[in-house]
Parts: sequence; structure tokens; C-alpha cells
Amino acid sequence: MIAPLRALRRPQGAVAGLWLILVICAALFAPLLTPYAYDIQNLPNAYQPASAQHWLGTDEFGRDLLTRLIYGARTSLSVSATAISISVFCGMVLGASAAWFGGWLDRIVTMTVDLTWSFPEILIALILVAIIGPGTTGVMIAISVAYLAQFTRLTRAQIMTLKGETFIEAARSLGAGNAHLLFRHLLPNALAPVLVSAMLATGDAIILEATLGFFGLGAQPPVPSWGGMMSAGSALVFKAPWVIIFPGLAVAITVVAINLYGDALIAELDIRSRLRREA
Amino acid sequence: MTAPMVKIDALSKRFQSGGGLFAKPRTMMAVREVTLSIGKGEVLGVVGESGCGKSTLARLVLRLIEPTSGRVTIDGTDITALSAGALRRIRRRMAMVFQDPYSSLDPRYSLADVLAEPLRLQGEVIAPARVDEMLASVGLPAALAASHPHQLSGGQRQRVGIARALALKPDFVVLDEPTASLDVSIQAQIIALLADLRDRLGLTYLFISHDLGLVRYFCDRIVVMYLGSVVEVLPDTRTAPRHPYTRALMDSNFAPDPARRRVIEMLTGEVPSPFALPPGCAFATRCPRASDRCRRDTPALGGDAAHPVACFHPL
Repeated sequence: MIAPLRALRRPQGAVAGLWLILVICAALFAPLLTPYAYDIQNLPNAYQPASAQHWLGTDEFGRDLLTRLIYGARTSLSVSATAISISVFCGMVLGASAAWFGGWLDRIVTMTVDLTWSFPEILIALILVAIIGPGTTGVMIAISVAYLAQFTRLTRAQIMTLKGETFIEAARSLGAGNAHLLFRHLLPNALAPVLVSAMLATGDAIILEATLGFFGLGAQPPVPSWGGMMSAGSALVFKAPWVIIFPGLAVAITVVAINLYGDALIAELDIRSRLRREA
Repeated sequence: MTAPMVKIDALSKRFQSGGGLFAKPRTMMAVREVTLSIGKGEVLGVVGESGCGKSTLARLVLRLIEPTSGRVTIDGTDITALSAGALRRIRRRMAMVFQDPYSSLDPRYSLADVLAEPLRLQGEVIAPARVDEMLASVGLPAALAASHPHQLSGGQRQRVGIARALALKPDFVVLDEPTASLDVSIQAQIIALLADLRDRLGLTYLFISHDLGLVRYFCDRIVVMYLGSVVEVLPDTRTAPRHPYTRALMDSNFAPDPARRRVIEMLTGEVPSPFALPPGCAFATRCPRASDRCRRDTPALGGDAAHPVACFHPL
């Protein structure tokens, strides 16, 4: 059985995995699951607490909170997952070529990456969104650049260690060229730690996306995002606390679940030491 | 000795270490002007202590690293001058078995993948029975084809390493301490397998080792290296050594019968740093016979053509 499935057999992996599957399914099938529209205002119905009609209550425009939460999962998950995928792809290309070809290419990549590494991700993301402009595309690019350094460093470190392994020399002694060594030996062996760290970074990216959304830089109204919903709820903390509490809980539980599942996966793959080898 | 198949001509390799913006890099000669020839079907042993350049020599001979100067020819083809494409094609004629059977196999590859890789690299089609055949040739059951390296013992992995080296039916194989990381009982099995393969396939071996006893058992001629240079070439395994270093190496081998053990003359003195070799003979700092001349001039490999030695005061 493959490792991601084996991780589900561990207790913490099972609970976390179940939640993640639930959230992902909710995001995928949002229109089928919700009887309400996320954007139609119903002002007389505003500020309703939880009830049989509205399980999580309604917001300041009388829109169903659960519906908006489910559509918000769509925004949050797709933006963070896409951003991290772009980041992983570019980071692997950069890190692998720096480690493999060395020389000035390695020096430039390492220097640039170390430079961005010295800034917090949120700062990089804020600067980039300020340049690109608010909206989901801007947030996506900003997040992917903010995490680029992490994946470049990790991939580079993996390839550097693998490069010295005897099986690389053995393949060369049989006539292997650069492409064979990179795509058949080095990258497949570097993949597991990079993918697990990508999964953990997706959790951080959800927080980053929510933060940018909270500042009003993410998905623009009326499209819901968890950060944007919390931003609207922050004005209503005493009047209708559920408007901020439920999206906050959604972010928190999802991020904790990603980390728990990631931990189970790391234990299953037995790569804890390789993830620490990043510098 | 039959006609030489592999000729190594004044081969040298200089390594640089350190050096930055302001620091000058330090250089060392890992292999210094080594000239050897290996006859077809011969087993040439290379011995020396760790750091004497024998593994570097092995990699130079197969051009896994680029020499600083010198040439290597195989049946008249100068492999140090070949283009990347021609080098890749000639790699089917030469192969290498590595010291560490644990890191010499990709952990993600099954044995079938490992053994099919050389054929794929040379653009050959792999018949399904071929892998079983290769496993059988090194005494492994065909049932192991689907298993991964971590499921095997060290001896089994080294057998896989040998099968991979022989996959393309080479005629020249470099063995870089193939038994150094194995248990003694397994060492004997691997040596017996290598001897059997040589007889069956008519292979030529360059056998690198620090175990003089093993080299004397297995090889036809023995090359002794010290700090990058060849100090003596023994024409057969029974010849008495003439270089004091070879003598010291042989003395450090215990005889199995305790009654026959003699007092061992231990070497005193330090091995000089390869980054700062003293003038004269590199062995002079540890040699009981060293004179002022040894500390001034460097002895060249010479004397008897069949049994050359680099020493001013040979035994």
C-alpha cells in the first residue's frame, strides 16, 4: 500500500485525513451541497443565529454562513494549493539545476534565494500583492513566490546529497547522461521530502491566504474567502460572533489537520531526518 | 603477459581544495605520472593504504573523472580523447564494481530495474528472460528480481553490482575494493564468483584493494602505490618485495598459523600531507633505509623492466 494511504491507518492521520477529505469534497461539490446562493442578499434575514434553516446562522447581508463557508473553502484551498504547486515546480527546477550544474548558476540561485529567505513570507506576499494588485491571481502569485525559497533550498540540498551517492557514479560508468541521472535517479529520490514539505506548506499558505483576504487583498466581494469572511465578521464580534468564529475555526481546524496528516505521512515515509537537511 | 589491452600512460590527477575570494587553493597530486599496462585476461592488483590514490586511479582509467594529464587507451582507442557520444558507446566494453554495495544501488529501483538500466542506456531491447539470466550468472535466484536493495544482504547487493557491471558483456572490469565492506566469509564467496566469471567470460580485471593478502591470492601482477605514485610492480605474487614500503605492507599481514608469526617491524614516522609533500622520496619520512639522497632526490620507477621499483636503496 502506498504511504499516503498507510498514513490514514495511524489514529491522528485518520482523524486529520477524514477532515481534509470532508473539506476537499465540500469545496469540489459546493453547488450540490448548498441550498442557498452565496451572493444573494436577504437583508430582513440578517444576523440570524444558528437555526434549522441556517445551521451556522446568517451574516450582515442575511446570506447563509455555511454556504459561504463551503464556497470559501473553494477559494482558500484552490488558491493555496495552486500557489504551492507552482512554487514546488519552480523550486524543483531551480534547486535541481543549481545543485546539478553548480558554478555561477548555483551561486546566483543560492544568493537570490537566501536573500528572499531572510524576509518573512507575509512581507514578501504583501509587497507582491501591492505591486500586482488585489484579487485571487495576485494572491496566488504572491504566495507562490513567498514559498519559492523553501522548495528551492530543499530540492538543492536533496540533490547535493544524492549527487555523491555511488549509484549516480555507477549509472555514469554505464553511459548515463545528465537527463537520465536527473530524471531517473536524482529527482525521483528527492521527490518524497519535497512533496511532504509542500503539503505542510499548503497549511501555512491557507493562513497566508486568509491573512491577505482579511486585509481585503484576496478574492473580491461577493466571492467568499475564509479571510474575507473573518474580516467582515470582525466588525460584528459582539453583535453576531458566529460570523467571525466559524471561518476562523475552519482555517484553524484545516491547518491543524494538514499538519497532523503531514506528521503521519513523514512517520510513514521515514524521512524526518531528510526534511531537516535543508541548509 | 599477453598483448596489453589497457595502457595507462603518464596519467596524473591534481585536485584543488579550498580557495575562495582571498585564500589560495591548495593542490594535491592524487595520482602522479602513473604508467601501467594490463594484458588481456590478466588480473592486475593495485594496493596501497587509504588515500594513496588507488580509487582515483580506478575512476581515471574509466574516465569517470577527467585526468589532469596523461592518456588511457583500450585496444588502441584513446578514451581520454573521446567525445561524449563515443565515450558513451565505448562504456559497454568497460565496467566498474564499486566498494559500497549499500549506496551503489538506487534504493527506488527493483533488481530488475537495476539490471535493465545498462541495457536501456545503451539502447538495447530487454528480453524478459534476460534479467533472470543475469541473476543466475551471479548465483542469485530469479525470485529476487522484484525485490528492492534494502531487502538484500550486503553480499547479495554486491552480486547485483557485479551482474550490473557485466550486463553489457564488457571485457575490462575495474573492481574498486569490491569486498572491503563485506564480512570475511562473504568476501571469499565474492572473490570466488569474480574468479569464476573471469574464467568463463575471459575478463580482464583491474583489482583495487588495500588487502595485500587478498591481492596476492587473486592477482597475477601487483602494483604498489604510495601517495599517488607507483613504487613497485611485482611481476607475480611470490616475488620477494624490493621496496621497503612493499616489505612493510607484507609484514603487516598476519600468517594464519600463530607459531609462524614473526616479530613485526612497525613503520614509524608520519605519512606526509599530500598537500605538502617533502622533496625527495615521499616514503623517506617512514623508511628505515632512508638516506640524505632519499630526502633530496625523487627516485624514478626503474631497474628491472619486469620488476620495476622506485627506490635508491632497494632490498
